[in-house]
Amino acid sequence: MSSTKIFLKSSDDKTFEIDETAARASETLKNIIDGGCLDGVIPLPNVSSNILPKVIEYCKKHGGDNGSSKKIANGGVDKDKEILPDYDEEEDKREKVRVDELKKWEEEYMDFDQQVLYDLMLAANYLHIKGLLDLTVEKAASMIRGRTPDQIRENFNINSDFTPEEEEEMILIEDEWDDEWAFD
Amino acid sequence: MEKKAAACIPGGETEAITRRMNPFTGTSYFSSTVVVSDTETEKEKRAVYRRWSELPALTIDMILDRLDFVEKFRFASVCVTWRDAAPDFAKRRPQRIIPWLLFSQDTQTGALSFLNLPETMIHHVRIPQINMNLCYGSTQGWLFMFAGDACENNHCFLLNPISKAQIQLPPLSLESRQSFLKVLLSSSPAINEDWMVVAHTVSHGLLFCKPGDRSWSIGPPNSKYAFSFDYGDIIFSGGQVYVLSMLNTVWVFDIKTQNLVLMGGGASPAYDLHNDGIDHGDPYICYLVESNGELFLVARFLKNTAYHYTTIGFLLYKLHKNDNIELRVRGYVWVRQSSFGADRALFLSINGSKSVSTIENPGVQSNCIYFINDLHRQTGKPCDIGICHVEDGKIEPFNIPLDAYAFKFPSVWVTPSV
Repeated sequence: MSSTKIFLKSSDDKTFEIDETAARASETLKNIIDGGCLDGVIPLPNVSSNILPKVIEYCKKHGGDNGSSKKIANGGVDKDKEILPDYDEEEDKREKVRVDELKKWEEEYMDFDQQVLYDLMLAANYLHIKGLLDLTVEKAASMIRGRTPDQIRENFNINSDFTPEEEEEMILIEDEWDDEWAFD
Repeated sequence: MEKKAAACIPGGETEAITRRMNPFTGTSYFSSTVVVSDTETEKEKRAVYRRWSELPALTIDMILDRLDFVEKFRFASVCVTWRDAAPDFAKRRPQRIIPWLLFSQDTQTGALSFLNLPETMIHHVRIPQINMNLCYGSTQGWLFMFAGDACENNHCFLLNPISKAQIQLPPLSLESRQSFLKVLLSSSPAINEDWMVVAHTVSHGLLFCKPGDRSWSIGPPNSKYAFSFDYGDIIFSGGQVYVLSMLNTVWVFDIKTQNLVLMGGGASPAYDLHNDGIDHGDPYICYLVESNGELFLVARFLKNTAYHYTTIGFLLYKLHKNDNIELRVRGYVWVRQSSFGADRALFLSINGSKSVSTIENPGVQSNCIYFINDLHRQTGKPCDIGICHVEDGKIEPFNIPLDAYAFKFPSVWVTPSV
């Protein structure tokens, strides 16, 4: 299948090329393409040239399997299980390799600091790329989980902007349990 | 510091030089440039970082959905905008909320200490001018407090120790206060505006008040049942109040019709003691508990020591509809249970118990009763604190070395909510 090229223009007027199949990973882009109002270049005023290549990288990886190939693989496995067990095992193996490879890719892909995470999350939200939004939101949640408010602030480089009174009356002051806790 | 300066040659050099040149004034040309450029990068940094608090509502919701209840508290404690973004998270997964044990108050700062058992964490919440000795119970995440000493006044209010919200209630009579047993909220005022408070007293039986009421309305004429209601237990379930009498019968009080109807029950767990290692003379406390829509009677047996009671075992009963017409017991009967449920745990207290799912709360041990230092109502003596494994009856202390007898007030389970 020969793929049409789509051109995306970042907020700072830089143009990037992407295959149509890859672009379809984004609901927003898919709607524009299917709507037929494709006018050469799609302007993305909310995505900068720093982050757009990162988005395109994700789409390239996931544009092809946008539901279809995964479904065929899974459905095929279940249906053919009784009829073709040998073939099935092979298929299972291949599927496992594919999933492992994808996990490894995601791990490497998601290795960036919180500023990129922020921009990427907003881009995924704006472009309606569900998989990417899930990935970024999960990363943000993992930077919050099991941490005290102080540690969370450090992770996201947020300054506490509570007033001194609010700080004093802080909703929650936490101490991790230690044996030195004294009861009098 | 040395390494940093070496790595960042131009800035580091300049700073080092100016320091050497003019260590006192700090106003030389070089040093001021350094300062200016530093503040600019600081400003830039902040401009970038501040945006985290401007996340679209959808992504904030998605993040919150991936956090558990305690983590949501932490989220809301990070900055003003995150706090404002998460005001109503308590409504989302109420079934996942595990009671915290409010067990201590710092005499100097007034900070309340909560023990979060599954996470082995102590949470401190500072609430000035609150005296836990004036706390008369906990319900739906709110504490029932009196405003001052008994002789002073009998103004009472609800206090949410997490959000620190307060709701004034009509004053209670001195008699009611002195014979106060338990308080219930139909639902948390933070979630539902149509709440109702039920107070259980020896002097007046059941008392009710709704938002805006100026006085308490008195429930069923207690005198009629005084012999049996005095030290029983009450719970709220499905808009009705269930009352466990001293004879272990269950009564249903319909708030709308003011009808009090005997549902069934009866019989004393003391009759059931055969091979449980519990003697007939041992004191016990009966609790009425709801778990997964079913009513349980939990009898906690105690051994008497000089200053306190030691918990020696539990007997469990479930209220069953009686299909046997020949038995002359009306409607429902208590049926002995050997298990509380493989996927349930019970946080037990005379101030309010709560059953939780251990599947949804992996840190909680299943088929266990977490019991605390309730006061025995007739003798006023405190009990101990611990965990009972219902399956084999084994009793062990909490995983944190709390000295239960050093507590200055009876602990309460508080299900954190805002």
